[in-house]
Amino acid sequence: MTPNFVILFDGFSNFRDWAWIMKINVLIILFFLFLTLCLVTFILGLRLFKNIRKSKKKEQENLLIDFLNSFLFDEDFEKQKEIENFKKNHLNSELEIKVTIKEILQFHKNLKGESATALEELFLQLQLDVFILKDLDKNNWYDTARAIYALSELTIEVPVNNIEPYLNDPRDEVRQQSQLYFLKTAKTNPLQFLDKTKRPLTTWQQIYIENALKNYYEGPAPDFAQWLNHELISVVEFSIRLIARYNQFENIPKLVPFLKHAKESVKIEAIRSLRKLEYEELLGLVIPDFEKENLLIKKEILKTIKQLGNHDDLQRIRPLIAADDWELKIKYLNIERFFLPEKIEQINIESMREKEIEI
Amino acid sequence: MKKILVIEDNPMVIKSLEFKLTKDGHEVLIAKDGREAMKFLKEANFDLILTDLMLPFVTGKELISYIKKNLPKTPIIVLSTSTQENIIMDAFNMGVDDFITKPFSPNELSLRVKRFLNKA
Amino acid sequence: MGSTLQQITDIASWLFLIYGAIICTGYLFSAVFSLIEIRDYKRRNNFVDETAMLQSLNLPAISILAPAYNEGLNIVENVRSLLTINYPSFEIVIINDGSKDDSLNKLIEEYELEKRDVLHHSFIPTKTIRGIYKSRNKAFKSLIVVDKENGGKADALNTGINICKNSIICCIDVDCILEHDAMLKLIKPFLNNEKKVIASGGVIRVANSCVIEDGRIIEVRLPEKFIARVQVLEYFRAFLMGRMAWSRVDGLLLISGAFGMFDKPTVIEAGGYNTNTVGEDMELLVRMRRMMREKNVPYTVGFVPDPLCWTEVPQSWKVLQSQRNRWTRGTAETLWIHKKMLFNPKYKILGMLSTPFWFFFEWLAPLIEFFGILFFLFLLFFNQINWIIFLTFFLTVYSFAFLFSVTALFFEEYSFQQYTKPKYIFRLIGTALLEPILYHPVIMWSSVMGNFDLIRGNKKWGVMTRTGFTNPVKKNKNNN
Repeated sequence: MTPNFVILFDGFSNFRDWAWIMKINVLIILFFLFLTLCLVTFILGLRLFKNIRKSKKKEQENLLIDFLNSFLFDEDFEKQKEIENFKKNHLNSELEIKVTIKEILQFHKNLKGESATALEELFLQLQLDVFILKDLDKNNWYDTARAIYALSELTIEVPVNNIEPYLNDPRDEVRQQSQLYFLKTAKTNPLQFLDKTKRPLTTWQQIYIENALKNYYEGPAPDFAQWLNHELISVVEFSIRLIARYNQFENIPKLVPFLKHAKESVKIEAIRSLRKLEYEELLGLVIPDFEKENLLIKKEILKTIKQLGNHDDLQRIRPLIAADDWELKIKYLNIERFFLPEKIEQINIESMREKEIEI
Repeated sequence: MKKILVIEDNPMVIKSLEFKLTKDGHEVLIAKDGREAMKFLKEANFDLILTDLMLPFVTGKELISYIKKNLPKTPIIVLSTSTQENIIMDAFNMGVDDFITKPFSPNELSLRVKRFLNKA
Repeated sequence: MGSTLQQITDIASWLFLIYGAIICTGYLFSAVFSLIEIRDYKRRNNFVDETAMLQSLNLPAISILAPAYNEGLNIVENVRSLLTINYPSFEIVIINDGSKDDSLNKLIEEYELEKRDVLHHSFIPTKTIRGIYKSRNKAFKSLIVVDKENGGKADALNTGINICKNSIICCIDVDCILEHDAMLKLIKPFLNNEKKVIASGGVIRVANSCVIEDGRIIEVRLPEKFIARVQVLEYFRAFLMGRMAWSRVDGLLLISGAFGMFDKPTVIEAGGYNTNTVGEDMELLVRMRRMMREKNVPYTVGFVPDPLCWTEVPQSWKVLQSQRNRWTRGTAETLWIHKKMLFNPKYKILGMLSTPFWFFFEWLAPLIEFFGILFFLFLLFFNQINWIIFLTFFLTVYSFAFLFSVTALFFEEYSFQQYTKPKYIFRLIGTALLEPILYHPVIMWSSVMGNFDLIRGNKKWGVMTRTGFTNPVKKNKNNN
């Protein structure tokens, strides 16, 4: 008996007589194998390329560690001669330039004072800014962002028009770097760029702005109240927060209206900031509204009582906490334990008893 | 010559500290992580310890707690990225003598180190 | 007779081609999306400065939850390594899930722990807590150890969720090895998003044969054993291609139980981990996403392609089989619980793409394959096999499988290239050649057995739907 499937197939010799599906299969197999082969070659090539690149990079890095340390800390180092020498011998390929820029930025990031200034000068003496400016003009967002980053790190100033359009770039990385650029190069009013900002600030961006303000900007702190009426909620929240971080007590009256703001997140920032500024009337303003606020604000109010109030204030809240609202109750009891350390045992027993009743 | 133990995991910072402090005429020993630092602390005595807080293997805090218990006379300077009040307060509460934040000025650091070494 | 057979083979051929075409397109898309996503990620993080984050007061505090069951051997080192994480503000909650060994005593002794009265409430019902411990030593201020009665991983995590104080939680396996900046990277999606982020996950890597000292990877090595090496390839495919692409289209259904970050209020609102499924990690994320969708709140799930977490994969066939058996049951249970989402346009990409994908390719594919093999054996038995035909079909599938692995290898090479020695690449290519023959059948068999166990253990399933979870999604399900 011949197998039924023999209809499909009549021997190797006669490919033309193969069933269509088998022809397709053979084509697919060849195609896949071809792709696989291409990929494997590509992977190996990439590996080889990367390894060579890596060892060159390592070499340049080691060179730079010695060069930069001697440049910064060795008084006997003949700066001019060595810089010329380095420029001539070790800044020839694009890779060398890139690694050098990166390494100088690394050093700069960890150092401040004279050493940082010295590094900024070195950067210009090596004429690395030329390379950065070329990057800035490229059309790729990542080149632009990186270039602006380097400019701002080393406070190299370029005409304002070159950077300003990027403040509202569609990529948040570019937006962020241009914000930091304006901040780090500013002599006064470092947050002026906020006036031109039209897109919300993410938490991430706020972290970096605040950090740069603290660590890079050396002039007088700006009056953050000027952005309290900004059209972007995120900018308003940011300003409220910074008023407290910079202890601008004179702005307290301007913050108070925000306790009634329609947006919950703004309200929370306002409570936090006024608490940080230890505004005495704060409890009187927030406790009456406790019942109608939502959970997050209630928590903030409890925290405020812990910090600015006393056990009596706390007790005013007690009847306003729902019996099954355990998250608030635990907060409440913890604060009670804080106010009455001698009664910790009693409070614990009481809370346990309540729990049992509930169950 | 005074002996300083530097506990730090950022290679760039290590190089700079080593370079600068050696130039100042101190003997500098480097521990790249908390475990190595523990080993050095058990083997030798130091006139000053300069440590980061976030370290591989053993945290800076644990090291400080160990030093305070076993070598209470050795001054400790923390060199850390953290600038948050509560972290700095925690460190001082544990008994460190000085707190320098990164980015740091090598000249200032060198002065503070000298001050502690002269006190002793 | 001849024409009927011709028709059957034609139909079978077409089915084969269509199924193949769907798979190929699927993989092609996932390859393209992954490529874009990885390239973007690399460019975005080219010059990120961690210092600003470490100094920030705006970074949310996180609670790291690590359940431990009979981990006495390494628990002290594991905790020490967790304490060295780079992050400005965190607490570590170790949940001793009724270990029968001396885990708890070891921790008490090493970290100078003492019992404390910590007020807490069971937002999610769990097994009884026997005690909460904190350290007398200020150096371990961020450590909390919870001792509870045994209730399984999900229950332990729920206990941790009830007790921890921060509103971002990171659930990890206590024995996995984290990169020092893992938390800084994993938190980023939460900060840099205009939408609400409910969870973020990271890539898991294979730690077998790597040089590990006190909970740190000193040197990355390719696993010595074939079985572990194949899993390296599997993880490349799953994480670098699969999840990366799903993340691009915001259709992720799974964040690995070994390593994921969540928004605690959302987790509690969804009802916490489901203690009655073996796929608690997948089930939780699906339930959270479903809840957000039903509430109509815009949200997203983040994914970070950096290698942030390393874990030991099974080195023995037996353990591997039981792991895959469990995964299959987890997938099936999750899909069953949330069957309402399947092909439901209301759930958008989750309903139209993610759940169908899981249904057809993760759950059904091994079963189809199994029946194919049965059919093959049947033909073989009756001597009906035409070997040339068999060969062309087999080679088509085989060459595809190989191509897929090599593509994944390319992604690894392109993205983070942890295996730097060229000899590793050759070994991985060799592994990819052998995988479909030596490894894949075992995996398929485990899946089939997983389904079989599921049906056999039907009673357990019944009990499961009756337990008192108090959350909207669950209630819906019971009403169905």
